[in-house]
Amino acid sequence: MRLAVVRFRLRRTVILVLLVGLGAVAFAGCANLRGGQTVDAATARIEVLAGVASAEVSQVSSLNGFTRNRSTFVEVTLERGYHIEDSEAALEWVVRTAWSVNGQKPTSGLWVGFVDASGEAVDWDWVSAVKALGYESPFVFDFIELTGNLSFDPADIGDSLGSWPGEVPQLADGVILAD
Amino acid sequence: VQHVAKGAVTDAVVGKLGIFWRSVRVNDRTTPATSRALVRRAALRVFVTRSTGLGLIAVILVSTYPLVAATPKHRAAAIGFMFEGLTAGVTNAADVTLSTGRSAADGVGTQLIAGTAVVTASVQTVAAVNFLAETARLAVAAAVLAATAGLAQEAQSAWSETVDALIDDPWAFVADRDKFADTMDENFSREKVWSNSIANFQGLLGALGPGYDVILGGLVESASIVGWKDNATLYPVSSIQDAGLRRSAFLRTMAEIGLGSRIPLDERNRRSDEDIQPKDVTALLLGMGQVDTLGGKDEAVIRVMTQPGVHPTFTLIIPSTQKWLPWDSQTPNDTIGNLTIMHGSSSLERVAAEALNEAMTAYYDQSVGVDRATVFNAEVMVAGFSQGGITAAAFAESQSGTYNIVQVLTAGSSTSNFDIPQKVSVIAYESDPVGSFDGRANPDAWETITANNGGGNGFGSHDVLRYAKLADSPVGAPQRKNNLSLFLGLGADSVISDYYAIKESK
Repeated sequence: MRLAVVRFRLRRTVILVLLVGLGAVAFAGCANLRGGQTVDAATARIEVLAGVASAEVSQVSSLNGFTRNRSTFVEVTLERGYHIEDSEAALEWVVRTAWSVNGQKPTSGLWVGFVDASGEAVDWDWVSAVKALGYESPFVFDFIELTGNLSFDPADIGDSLGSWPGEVPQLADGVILAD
Repeated sequence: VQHVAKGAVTDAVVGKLGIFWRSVRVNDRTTPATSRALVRRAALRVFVTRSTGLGLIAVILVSTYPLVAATPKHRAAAIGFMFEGLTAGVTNAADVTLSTGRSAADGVGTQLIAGTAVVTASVQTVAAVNFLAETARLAVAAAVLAATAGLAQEAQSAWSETVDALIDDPWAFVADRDKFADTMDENFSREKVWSNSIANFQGLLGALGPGYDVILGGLVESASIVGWKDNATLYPVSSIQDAGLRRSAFLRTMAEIGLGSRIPLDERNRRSDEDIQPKDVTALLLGMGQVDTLGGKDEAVIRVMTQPGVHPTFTLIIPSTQKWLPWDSQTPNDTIGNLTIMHGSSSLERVAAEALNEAMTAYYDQSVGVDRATVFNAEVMVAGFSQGGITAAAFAESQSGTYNIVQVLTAGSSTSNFDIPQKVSVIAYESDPVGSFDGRANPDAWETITANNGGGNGFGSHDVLRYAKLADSPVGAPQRKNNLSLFLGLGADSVISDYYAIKESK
């Protein structure tokens, strides 16, 4: 009698372990299929664009008590002799690029920016672009002098970007042009 | 011990552990006597753990109602009194079992033929996993009961106040049908629910008495058997490549909490992402947040701030927990670090001492006309948030004979179980439930600040930025005599040195 009970419990445990394992595999598969692009893929895609010298795409996270703060950074360095011709299109593209990076969902900061060949932030009329796109949120311009980047709160602009991770955007022609 | 485990208890408990039983039955075919001994030992562990849990739950149910109006201290004492008789025998048995269990199992393993060594290991692992699961279940049960009781206490309080108002002015309630509900709503405080629940939970843990340490010891031991170990090596150079981005991310969180004015400025008065100078308590707390963001789950950043001079002083900042899942961790400030430091000492504490020693040695080597004794006897402040604060308290307890520690400052940390020398001034910010995890109130000699830091005194208050904001307000400023002036707000900038600790094995 006891042996039968033990066998039943053992069988139940094995089935449970198999189900959990199957679930884990399925979950991992979903993660791979959830869209967007990896940090490396995003970097590679940006760096092949005309007028782009390099790109830094990164995600950082830290715990503050029980809250994990996650930020995504996309910074594009232009080649010497190039500039942003259409700041609105450039900003929308780079923000959507950051939103498409699928490692971790940003919760506390989307940092995006374009710097010139010497690494200096240049104001290609970002204020008008932010306003036109409806991306206004606190502290957007607070760190541009220090970091060269605009910083957005995902909670403020996430709705306008759709579900995360977003689709990989394409940069339209004529956004980055030679001087 | 074997006598206790005999009979029905053994049968019932072993029946719950199919895998375990099967492992032992394999063993049984080779050396029945040894296997039976293993069964009894493991069964006793389970029995002891469950008995403790059931006893605790029973006492909570019995004691909650009559203790509604008692202060946390009295409540804890009363529960402890009722609990004492029940737990004494169980605790002693658990202590013996846990302290001898592993060595006994190892001994058995060496006596068996080669193939059965694996079986011995699985017996250990099953027992360890079981202990972890049982303790987690016990903790959850205690938390739920503490919260339920806390809610009931506040509901009863709000009801009483509302009925009093009704008796005072019944016509107002007749004239306005919504007045009763509105008055209940006014009298009901979520903050009080939290503070009641925290006090209840603290009382329950305190009631465990010596059992608290036994359970912690069991958790540390079990985690080690499962492979979650506590270790660390200190390095002078960081392994991370994106420190600049991490610094930027922290600045944004500073701005969001309303402390943008505290962002450092460079010589041209522009915002800078440099290390935060310890100008005051708020800046010290922000420094804790900065080292957490810098290290993240990649490395533990330990910061030593040297106030230079003929009589230098040193401030040691220890980072908080950066990884909750106990597996695959590469930093010592993780869940296992929490368990080990609550049990007395941890690798994070050890590397913090190394970092302080390194900073003192570097200062001595680089200074002219300052003798070694002056540097190594210099006043030291130890500070940290959450696990960093717990480690700071443990550090003050264990290292006061080595270093001249005169000030401890913690935020969101359970520290009262550490025996910090009386000469050390202690300031403890405890606006969130984590401070109650030690099971008793802080000594009266310490300055404990429990004002709401904006998170409602719940788990949302376990936030170093909120504590920094609180310290920036009149209710959050330390009021008692302390030694902060030796370390904070001095004219010259401190020399800030960061050290980096990584686990040797995950």
